[in-house]
Amino acid sequence: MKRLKALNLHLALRGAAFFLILAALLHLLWPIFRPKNNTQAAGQYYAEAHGFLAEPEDTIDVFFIGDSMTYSAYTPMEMWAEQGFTSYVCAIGSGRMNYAYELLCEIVECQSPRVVVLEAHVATRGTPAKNAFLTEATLWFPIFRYHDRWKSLTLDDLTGSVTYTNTKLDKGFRMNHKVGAADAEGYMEETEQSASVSLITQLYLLRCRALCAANGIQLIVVATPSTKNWNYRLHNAMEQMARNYGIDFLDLDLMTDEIGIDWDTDSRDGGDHLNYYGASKVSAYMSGYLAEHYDLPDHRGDGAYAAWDEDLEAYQKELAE
Amino acid sequence: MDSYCSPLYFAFFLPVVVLLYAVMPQRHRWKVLLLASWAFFWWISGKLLVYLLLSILAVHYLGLWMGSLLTERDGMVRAAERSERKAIRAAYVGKLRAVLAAGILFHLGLLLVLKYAAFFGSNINTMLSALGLRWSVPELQFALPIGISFYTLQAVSYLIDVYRGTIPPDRNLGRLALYMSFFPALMEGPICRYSDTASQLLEGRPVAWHNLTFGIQRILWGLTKKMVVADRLNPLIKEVFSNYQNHTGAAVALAMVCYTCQLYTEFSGTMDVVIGSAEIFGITLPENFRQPFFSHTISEFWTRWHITLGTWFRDYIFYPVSLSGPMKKLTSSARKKLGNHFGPLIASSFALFCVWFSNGLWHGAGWNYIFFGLYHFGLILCGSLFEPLSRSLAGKLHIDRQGKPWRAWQLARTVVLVNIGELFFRAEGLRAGMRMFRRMVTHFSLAPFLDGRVLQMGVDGKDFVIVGVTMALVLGVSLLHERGISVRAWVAARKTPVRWACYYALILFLIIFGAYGSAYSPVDPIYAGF
Repeated sequence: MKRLKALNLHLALRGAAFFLILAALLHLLWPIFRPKNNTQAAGQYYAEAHGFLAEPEDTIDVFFIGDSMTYSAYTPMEMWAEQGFTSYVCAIGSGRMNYAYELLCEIVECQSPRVVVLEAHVATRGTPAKNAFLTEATLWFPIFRYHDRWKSLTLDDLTGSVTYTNTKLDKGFRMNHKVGAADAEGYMEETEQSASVSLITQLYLLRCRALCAANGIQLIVVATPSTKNWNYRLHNAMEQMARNYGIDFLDLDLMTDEIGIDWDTDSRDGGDHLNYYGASKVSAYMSGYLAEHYDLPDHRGDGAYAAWDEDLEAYQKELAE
Repeated sequence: MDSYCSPLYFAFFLPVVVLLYAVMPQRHRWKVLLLASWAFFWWISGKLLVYLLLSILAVHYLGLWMGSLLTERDGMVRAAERSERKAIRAAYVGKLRAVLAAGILFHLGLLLVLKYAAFFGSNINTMLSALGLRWSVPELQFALPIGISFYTLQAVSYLIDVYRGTIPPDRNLGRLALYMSFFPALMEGPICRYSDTASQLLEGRPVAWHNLTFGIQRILWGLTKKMVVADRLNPLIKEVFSNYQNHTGAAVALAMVCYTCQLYTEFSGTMDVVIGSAEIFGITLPENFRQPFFSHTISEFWTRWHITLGTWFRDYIFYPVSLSGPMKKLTSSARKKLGNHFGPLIASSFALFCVWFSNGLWHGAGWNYIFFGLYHFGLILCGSLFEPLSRSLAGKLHIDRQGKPWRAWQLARTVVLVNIGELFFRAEGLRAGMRMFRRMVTHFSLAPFLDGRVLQMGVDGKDFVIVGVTMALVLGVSLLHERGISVRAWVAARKTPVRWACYYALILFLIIFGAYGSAYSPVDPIYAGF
C-alpha cells in the first residue's frame, strides 16, 4: 500500500512537472508571438477594438464594450465636447460575452476607467462553448489567440519591443452617414415573455461584474436602439438578469422618443444599426446620463488632456467635410 | 460539443468522465461509461436518444428470443434420434430466420426511413413526373440521431452473430446497451463487433498510467492531423467544390487532392481521438486505418481504409450472398463453361455489386455516393477481369511484377484512382462531380498556379508549406507503422528528456500551427454526417 501511494505521488509529481514546463514554454513563446503594435498589419486581433492600447495609461474614464451596434452608436468625441469625460469604444462585430470579458481584462491592465458600459445585445447573445474555451486558454496563455502570427514572424519579433501607435480620433466609433429608414412597427411591443440567455453568457457577465468590482469600476448594461436586434423579450431577460445580479441596466430602446430617434433618418440599414445622426443623439443622451448618474470628471481645460481638444477639432473638421 | 475534436469534448467531457470512472469502484465503472454515453448522445441529439434506446431494447430481446430458440432446438436435437435431428434443425431455421428478419428489418427500416425518406421520395417524384403522372409522394425529412448509421450496423452484426451461434445472446442489458452506445465510438465508429469489445466494456479496468499517457498521445496525434491539415485546407476545398465553374481544371485537381488529404486526416485523426479515448479506459477498439495510401490495388485500399466498415460488408453481405445456394449453383455451372478464373467471378461480382451499392448508399442519400460505391465496384471488377491479361502482358514485356518500379506504378495508380473517387464523394451532387471531372480535362490550365491565384482561395503559401510538412510527418509515421514500428512505443522507451521533448514538440506544433480561432472555420465531422 505504501509503495502504491509512493508510486501515485511520484506519477502525480511527474505530471505536475510536465505541465509546469509546458506552461513555462508557452509563457516563453509569448513575447515572440505578441503583436508588436496594435495594428492589423502587426497581427493585432480585432485591431479597431484595441485602439485604447495606444492611449496614455489611466486616461480613459468610460469604456463602451460591445458589438457593431456599439461602435455605430457612441461617439466619444461628442461626449467629450458635451461633458468633458474621456471615453473609448471597444467593439467587435457580432461580439460575444467572452470577447467582452477578454477586452475588459486587457482594459484594466492599462486603464483605470470609472465606468464600463456593456452592450445589452452582447450580454444576451449566446456564447458558443468553443469561443469560451479559446478565451479561457487565451487568458492563461495569450499565444492561443495569436498563434497564427507564425506566418508573419520576423527577426524583430525575437528582439523587438512593443509600441502601440494605432489610435484614431474617432476613439473606436465608426462614422457612417448612410440613411436606411427602419420599419419600427411593433418594435418594443410589450410582452410578458422573456428570452433565454445561455449559461456561458451569464457566467461571463458575472465575471465582468466581479472584475469591475475588484477594480472599482461601475458597470452598466445598456441596450442601444435597434429595431432589428432588440425586442421586449430580450428586454425582460436583461432586466431580470440585471436585477438578479445587481447590475445597472438602461434600455435606450424604451427611450427613443426622449432621445429623439427618428427611424426614418437615424439608421443606416433599416434599423439594424444607427448612422451618425442617430449616434449623435444617442451619444448626447448617454453622456448626459453618465455625467448625471456616475461620478465622472470634466477634463476640459486640463492641460494633460489637451490632445482630446486637438482631436475634437480634427473630428469636427472631418464632420464638416 | 459537435465532434470529438471540439475542445468541449477533449478538454471537458472526456476528463470529467475519466475522473468519475477512476474514482468509481470497479464494479460500477461500466455504469459511468453508459451514463456518459447517453449524456453524450443527449448533448448532441437530445430527445432522439429514444431511437437508440429502442434499438438497444429491440436487439436485447430479439437476441434473447433467438437464444431461447437455439437452446430449445439444441435440447431437442440432443434428445432426438440421429435420423430426426435434421428435421428438427430445419423446423427451427424458419423461426430463427423470422426473428432475425424482424430485427434486421426494424433496424434497417428505421435507418432507411430516417436517413433516406427524402432521397427516395424525391427520386420517385422525378420518375412519376417523367412518366407524366400527377401523383407525388411526400419527401419526408427527419431529424437524424447521431451515429445511427454506425450503431445500426453494430445492432445487425450482433443479431446475425447470435443467429449464427457465433456469440451467445447477452442477458446483461447494461453490457449490450454499452456495446451499442459506447460514446467514443458512437458518432463515427469504428464499427465494433460484440465479440471484440463487449467484455472489455464491463470489466471496469483501472485508468492505468500507461493507458492514460498512450491514450492522450494518440488523441494529440489525431488532433494534429485534423486541426493542422483538415481544417487548414477547408476554405480552398469549400471554395472550389462550391464554385467549380469559376476555376480551371488544375485548381479542381488541386482541390481534389486537398480533399483526399482532408478526408484522410479528418477521419483517421478523429479515429485516433476515438481510439485514444477508449484506450484511457483500458478498452481496445478495432483500428479503422492501416496506412491506406500504401495500397497497390483498390481492393487492398479497402482493406486498409475504414476497415471496420469493409469487414462488416464482407462478413454480412459478401459472404452470405456469394455463398448462398443459388450463387453456389451459378458458380458451379459457370465454372464449367467459363473456366476456373472467370466462372467464379460471376457470383462474386454479384455479391461485390451488393457490397458496393450498399457501401455507396450507406455513406449518404445521394446519387454521387451510389456512384462512388459503383465506381469502386467497377475498379475492383476490372482488376479481377483483367488480371490474366495483365499477368500475360507483363510476362511478354518482361516486367517484374514484384520489382520496385512496378510496385511504385501500382501505388501511384491507386492514389490517382482513389483521388478521382473522392472527387465524386465530395462533389455537391453527381452532376457536379461529372462536370468537375470533365473540367479537369477540358479546362486544364496552370495559369492559377503561375499567377498566384491559387494562393488566394483561403490557403496561402505558408499554409501549403505547413500542410506539406505535416503530411510528410504523417507519411513518416505511416512508413514506420508499415514496418511494424510503433512510434508511441519507441518514444516511450526513450529517456525522460527525449520523451518529453517529443511530447512538447507535438503539443507546441499543434498549438502554433492548428487552424483554430476566429480566422478559421473548421471542417464539420465528415463521417458523423453519414
